[in-house]
Formats: sequence, C-alpha cells, structure tokens
Amino acid sequence: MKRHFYRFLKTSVVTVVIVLSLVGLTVCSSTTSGVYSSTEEWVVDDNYSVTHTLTDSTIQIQFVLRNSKTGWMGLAFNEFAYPADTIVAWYDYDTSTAYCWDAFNPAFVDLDSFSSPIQDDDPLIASDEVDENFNQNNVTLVSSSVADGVTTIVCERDLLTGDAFDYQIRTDRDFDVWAGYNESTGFVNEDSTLQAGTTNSGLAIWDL
Amino acid sequence: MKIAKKTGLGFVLGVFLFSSIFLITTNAKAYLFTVDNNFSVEYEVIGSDIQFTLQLSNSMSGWMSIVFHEFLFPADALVAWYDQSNGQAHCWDTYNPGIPTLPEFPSPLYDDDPTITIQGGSPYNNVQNYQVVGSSHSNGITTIICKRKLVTQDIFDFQIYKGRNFHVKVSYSEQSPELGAYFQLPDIVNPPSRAGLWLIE
Repeated sequence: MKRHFYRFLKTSVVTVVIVLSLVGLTVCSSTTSGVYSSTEEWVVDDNYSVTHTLTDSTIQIQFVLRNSKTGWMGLAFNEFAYPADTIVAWYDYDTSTAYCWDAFNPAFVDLDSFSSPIQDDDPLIASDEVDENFNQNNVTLVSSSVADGVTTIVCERDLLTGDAFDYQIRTDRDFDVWAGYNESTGFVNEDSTLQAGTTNSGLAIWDL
Repeated sequence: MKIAKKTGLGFVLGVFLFSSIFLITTNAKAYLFTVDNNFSVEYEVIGSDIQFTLQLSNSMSGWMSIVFHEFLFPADALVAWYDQSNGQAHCWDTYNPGIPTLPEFPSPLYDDDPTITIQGGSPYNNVQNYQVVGSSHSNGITTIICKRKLVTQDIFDFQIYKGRNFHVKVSYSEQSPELGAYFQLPDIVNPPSRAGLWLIE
C-alpha cells in the first residue's frame, strides 16, 4: 500500500516537473534579443557596432563602421525600423564632415521619402500650431574620426527632449532599439529625400 | 494492473497540480484607471490578450480613447465609441502619424487606412486588431469592452510586454464622433484626459 502510494506520488511529481520544464523551455527560447547596458558595445555584425553611454541628463551614442566604406549608420527607438524616432549618422568624405541627424520615420507611404526617415524639423511633419518643443533637432555631433578604414561618429541628445518626435529616454526602464547601416552609401543632407536602404540590421534591448 | 491504475491516477493528479499552478500564476489582475468622474478604464490581461473596459458616465456618447504614448502623436491609439443611431459599439485600431498636412490631422487614422497601408509588407501590418467584446448603454452610462493581443506584430500598434512600463494618455470627448470618408474627432485637441504610466505584471 505504502509502496503504491510512493509510486503514485513519484509519478505526480515527475509529471509536474516535466510539464514545467517544457513550459520553461518554450518561454526562454522565445527571447532572442541581447540586452545592453551603458558603455557596453553592441556588435550588430562584423562591420557595425553601436555603444550608448549615459550621463546625468544626456545619452551619447557611438556609431562605428569598420568596412573601409562610406555608408550611413543609424538606429531607431523601436523594435521596428518604422514608425520610429531615429538617429542617423554618416561621414561625408568629400567635405570631411560628419553628420548626426535627429530624424523620425513616419512610415507614411505617400511621402516621396518613404521608407526613409526624415529630419524632425522637415516641413512634412512640422507645424506651427503644435508645441514649441516639437520638431526640434535635438541631436548634436560630439566627435568623429576616420582612420584605418574605421569611421567613428559620436552623437548626443538629452534624455528628455519634450519633442513628440523623439523617444523620451528614462533610466528606470528598458526599451527596444533597432540598429541598421548601409555598407557603402551615405545619406543625402536634404529634406524629404529617399535615402539609401539598409544592408543589415539588428535588434536589442537597452537597459539604462 | 493495479499499479498501472495508480500510475495513471498519479499522472492525472500531476496534470491537475500543474493546471492549478498555471491558473494561479496567470490569474488575470484588473487595473482601474480613473480619468475623472465621467470616465474610467479598466484593463486586464487574459492569456495573450489585453482587454479594456471603457466606461463613460456623463449621459453622453462621445468617443473614448487610449493613446499608447505620452504625446497625442505620433502614436498608436484605441478609439471606442457608441453609435446611438444603431446601437452599435466600435473599437477602432488607429494610428496617428503626426503629419499636419493630412486632412484628418490631428485625428488618428485607421490602422488599415490606405494612406498608411504598406503594400507587400508584413501581413501583420495595417490590421484592425481590436474586437468588441461587449457593450451597454443605459442609465446614462456607456460601457464598451475592447480586446486585442498584447503583441500584434503590427508596426502601427504599440507592442505591450509584461513587466515593462509604458506611457498612456487616456481621454474622452463629450461630443459624438462625426463620421465621413475620413474621421475627425471633435475635441481631439485638449480633451479631458489623464496621463499615466502603466505596468502589466
């Protein structure tokens, strides 16, 4: 009797353990994105990496392109490339000028620029009737360098800009970031223009 | 034979214990978010869905809305309203691209509006992901229950993940929506509203 009871108990426990393990395995295997903290380098692929560094009220983002070419680098504060707040950086090798764009991609198919992002102050999304904090260029260039086939551009913005076209970055939560680049073509520094597409992209979570 | 019977019973008990644990740990928790005396929203997670119960108590039939953002646009928004002419409740899955040149601006667009429909894109995009679960309109109180998946994979929907804070702007209008070829919501600018930070555990 006692033996049967133990066998019965054992079968029950084993069943629970097996089912819980299967559920646990399913849940864990659905997580594919990496999580990156401040100063931790996110290597999207062999050509491209992004590193964010937190200060008291700003975030600096370092874009690095290692393919000896001249393409754009960027990220979007979303798990999708658009619609999203976007930062685009590229180096104009003709004029030796680096750019950091505060951009937004409205995912609006009727725009000539679709599916490229446009600057936050592009007339297509700017209006005088809304908040004065909206449609501002809040991203500035901190530094840039080109050496040994490696292009490095550091951009900076305030964590909280009050601009509806900027993702408001808060340190008490994690959030999705999409990052992409073009291996050879830079951006055109003009409003409402269709830009070169993406060669490769990745997805991560930033935990500030 | 007896042993097999006991083993079978053990298996059944195991499944029962697992089911109990599963049900206890996934028990839906309802959260109430009150905007003012006229309007409140209750939300709860049911399996992989999130259900919103929007209640307007001002004896009127204006629109009710949850914007999944701290700004009115660009943002994903739920718009619910009750059509008194035919007794039909609506839960609209909308997106506001924040483009001032659009005739609807600053009202949102339906997620499946042709102006934001991306041909050949993901089949998850530009989909109406809300269902009307139920509605009532009596004694000056309008209640509409809307439901969608937490994660829809539609780029025009805010994806809701458990354990992650997100901003909402919950608002309503005292006026009824006026429908046309496109819709412009009355009182869309500065309606009675309350901003919140929601977390679904």
